[in-house]
Amino acid sequence: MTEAVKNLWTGLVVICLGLAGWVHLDIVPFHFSHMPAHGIFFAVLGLTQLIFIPFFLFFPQNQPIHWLGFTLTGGMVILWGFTQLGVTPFTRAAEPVDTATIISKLAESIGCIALVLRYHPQKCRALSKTFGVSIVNVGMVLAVGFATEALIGGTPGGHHGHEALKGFNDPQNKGHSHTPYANDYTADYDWGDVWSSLKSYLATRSKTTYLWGLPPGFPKPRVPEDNPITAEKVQLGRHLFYDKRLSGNGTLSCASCHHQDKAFADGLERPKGSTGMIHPRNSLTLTNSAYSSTLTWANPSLGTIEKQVLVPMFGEFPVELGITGQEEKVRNRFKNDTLYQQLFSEAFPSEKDPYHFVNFAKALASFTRTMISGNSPYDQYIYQKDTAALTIQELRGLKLFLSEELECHHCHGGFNFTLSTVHDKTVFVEKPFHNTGLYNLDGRGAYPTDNTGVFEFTAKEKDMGKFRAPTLRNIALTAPYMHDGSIATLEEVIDFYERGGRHIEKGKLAGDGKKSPLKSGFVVGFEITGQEKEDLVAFLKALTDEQFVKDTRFSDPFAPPGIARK
Amino acid sequence: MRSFTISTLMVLLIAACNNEKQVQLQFSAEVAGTPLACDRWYAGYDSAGDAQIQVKDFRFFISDLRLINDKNEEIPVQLEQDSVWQFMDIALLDFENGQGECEEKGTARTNSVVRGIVKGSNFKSIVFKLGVPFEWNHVDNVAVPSPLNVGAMFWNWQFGYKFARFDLVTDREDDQKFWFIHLGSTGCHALASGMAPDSACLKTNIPEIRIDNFDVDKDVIVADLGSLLQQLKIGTCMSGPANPFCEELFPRFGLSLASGDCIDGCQGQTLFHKQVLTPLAYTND
Repeated sequence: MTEAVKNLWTGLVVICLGLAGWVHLDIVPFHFSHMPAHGIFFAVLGLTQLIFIPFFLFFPQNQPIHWLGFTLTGGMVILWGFTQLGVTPFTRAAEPVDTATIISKLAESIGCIALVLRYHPQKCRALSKTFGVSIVNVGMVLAVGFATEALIGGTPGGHHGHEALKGFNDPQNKGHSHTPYANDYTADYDWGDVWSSLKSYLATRSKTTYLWGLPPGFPKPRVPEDNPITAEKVQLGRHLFYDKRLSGNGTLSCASCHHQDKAFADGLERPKGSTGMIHPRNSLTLTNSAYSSTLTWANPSLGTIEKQVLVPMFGEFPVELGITGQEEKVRNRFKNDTLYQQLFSEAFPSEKDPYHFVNFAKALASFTRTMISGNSPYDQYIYQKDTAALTIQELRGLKLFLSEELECHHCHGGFNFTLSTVHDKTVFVEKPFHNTGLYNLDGRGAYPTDNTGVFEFTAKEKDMGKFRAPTLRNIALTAPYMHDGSIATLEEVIDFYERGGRHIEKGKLAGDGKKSPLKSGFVVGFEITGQEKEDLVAFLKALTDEQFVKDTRFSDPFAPPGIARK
Repeated sequence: MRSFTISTLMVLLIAACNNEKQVQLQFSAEVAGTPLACDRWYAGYDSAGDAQIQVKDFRFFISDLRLINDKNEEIPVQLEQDSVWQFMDIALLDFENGQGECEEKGTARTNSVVRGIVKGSNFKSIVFKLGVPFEWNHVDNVAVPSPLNVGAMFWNWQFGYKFARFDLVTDREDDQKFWFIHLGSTGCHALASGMAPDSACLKTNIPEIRIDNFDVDKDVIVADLGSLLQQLKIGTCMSGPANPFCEELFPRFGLSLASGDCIDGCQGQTLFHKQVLTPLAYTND
C-alpha cells in the first residue's frame, strides 16, 4: 500500500468521524428536549467521536485506539440497528429515519471500512473481528444506557418519536429549512433550549426524585403529567391538609373530616361543613385514592385528585371548607406566613407568585396520593408470604369473600378491593358504578333526592342510585358505612348484602331495595351461616393496616411531638 | 407516521425473507345473524322461547392461534405485541362499547381483529383456544400489560381470568333477571384463596375451537350468542362444577363440565362458526 493510499484511508476515517460527531452534537437539543438522558447520550457520543480524531492521528498504531475507533463507527451502526428493533434504552419503538440518521450512519459505515482498509492486511478477518468487538462494546453501552435510564428517568413504553413526528406533521412546522437537514424533525431545537432546559432540569431533578416506597405487589400510581410528585409538594400538601386557615372562616381543615386514626374517614354518619351545613354523604376514606379511577362517591367526571380537592375547597352545596368568595383572604393567610413562604417556594421553585389555588390543589393532591396502605395482615400473608399473618378464621373469611356465591369480588376485586382502579400500566380505565338496592322509594328504584348517585350528573334514570364501590382496605376503621353512613356496622352490611337489598318498612324512606329494577345483577343475595358471617367480618378486619394509621408521614405536622391532634 | 412506515417496511422485509405474511383475523359477534349490540333486545333464545335478553358484556380471550395448511401442518400465528389487545399469544376480543346496559362493567373501546404473522401459505383451517394458557392465567394482574390487566376480566375467585364474559339481562324477574356466563378454569388449588395456584387447575375449561375450510383473507369468525344459548334454561353459570345450568351450557362450548376437557375435540361447540367476510360493524379503534 502506498503512502498516498494510506493517507486517503486515514483522511476518510477523519472526515467520516468528524461528520458523524458533528451530526450527533447537532441533534442533542432535540433529544434533550424530550428526555435529558437521551440528549446527554448523543452529546457524549458526538464529543467522543470528535475527540477521537486527534488521538487517532497522533497514535496511528495503538491497538486500543483502533478498537475504540471500530466501536465509534461500526459499533454505532449496530447500536442504531438495535434502536430500530425498539430494544434500547430511551426508545421502545423504531425511530424515524431522517436525513441526520442517514448522514451519520453512512459516515460511520464508511469510516469503519476505511479503518479496516488502512491498518489490517487480512481485511475479512479484521472486519469480522470489528463486528465482534463492536457488539461487545455495544452491549456495554446498552447496559450503561439502561442504568442511566433507570437512575435519571426515562419513559418506558413511551417513545419520543411520536412527539417529534407530531411536530413534524404539524403544517405550521413544515418548511423550516434553517438546518442542513431538509425536512428534519430535529430542526426546531437549538442549544439555547438545552441550556435553559438543563438549568430547569437540574433544578427540578434534585427535587423530583420521589421515593414511593410502595408495598410489595402494589403497582405504581398514575400521576398527572402536569403535577409530577415531589417530596416538597407532599410536605406543603401535608401542612395545608391539617391547616384550618384553608377554610373561609378558619374553622375547618381537610383533616377535620379525614382523621388518620380512622384511615382518613371521620366516624360520623354525615359530617358538618365550616358553616354548619350537613353534608349529604359520608366522609370517604382517603386510603389509596391514588389508585381510584374516579374520586368521591359518585362523580364519573372526577378523574384526578387535583380536580377532586377543588370540590371541598370551593363547593357551595354543601359548603365544606367554604373558600368561595373568600379567595383573597385565604390566599393571603398563606402568602404572609413565613413557614408557607418557605414551603411554597420549595414546592414551586420556578414561580414568582405560587400562592394560587391550582398550586394548593396540586400540593394537596400530591400529599393525598402518598397515602398508600398495603401492610395489613392480608398483605403480609398474600404479598409478603408470611403464612402466620392470617388466622384460620380469617382465611375462611377470605375464601367466602372470593367465592362465586357471595359475589363480593365482582365490584370489590383486585389488589385495592375495588374495580374502580387505575395504575401506571392501565390501558382500559374502568369506572364502574353500582346500584346496590339500598333504597327503592317509589318501586322504580328512586333514592332520596340529596343522594341520587350518578343520576345527579347524568340525569339518566338508569343511573339512579349508582355509587362507586370504595376500597375495602381499612374498612373496619371507617364505620359507619355506605354513601350516607346509613349502616352502622360491618355485620349489618353483610346482612344487607345477604338479603340482596334493604327493606325499609316505615317512614319517608320506605321501600324494598331488593325489588329495585335498577339494582346490580351482582347484588342478588346469598345464604350464609352465623359462623360464616363471623369469618367474613374477621377477614374484613384483617384488611386493617395499623402501620398506615400511625405513619408519621401522614400525621399532623403542627401537633406537638407525641400528641395526635384531632 | 414515518416510524410506522419504517417498521411496516421492516416487517414486510423480514416477512419477504422468510415467506411470512401478515394476517388480520376478523371476528364478529352476533345473535343468530343479527350484529350484537349493548342497546338491543333479542328474543327467543331460552328454553321457554319467549324471554327477551339484552347484552351487558361480551368479551373473550383467545390464545394459541394456529393455521393449518394443505399438508396438514399446524403453523402458529405470532401475534403482534401491542400490549393493548394482544400480549404474548393471547388476544382479547371485545364487543361491548360501554354504552347502554354495558356501562356497568364495560369500556368504550372494542376489538374484533387479531393481528399477527404466519409462515407459509395455502391455509385451510384455523384452530384457537378460548381462554388464557395456564402460565399466564394466574399471574399478578397488576404486574402484566394489557389486555391481562383489564380488571373486569380478572376472576378473583380462582385467581385467574374469565376466559369469556357474557353478561346478559332478561325481561324476567328475580333469579331469572340476570343471566351471567363466565367461563374459566376451576378447581385451582392454592395455599389460600387470593393466591396463584401451586399446580394445574383440576378443570382447565379451555375449549379448542377448530374451523375448517377457512379462508384467512375472506372469512370472519363469528361468535354467535344465539346458537350458544338456543333452547337453554335461563340461569347463571360461572363455571361452577356442580351448577346445573353449566351442565347444560358446557357442551355448547364443546366441554365436559365433569372433566373440564374437550368432548371429542370440542367439535360439538356451537358458539363459533365462519362466515364470508362482509363489511363489518365493528372496527378496532
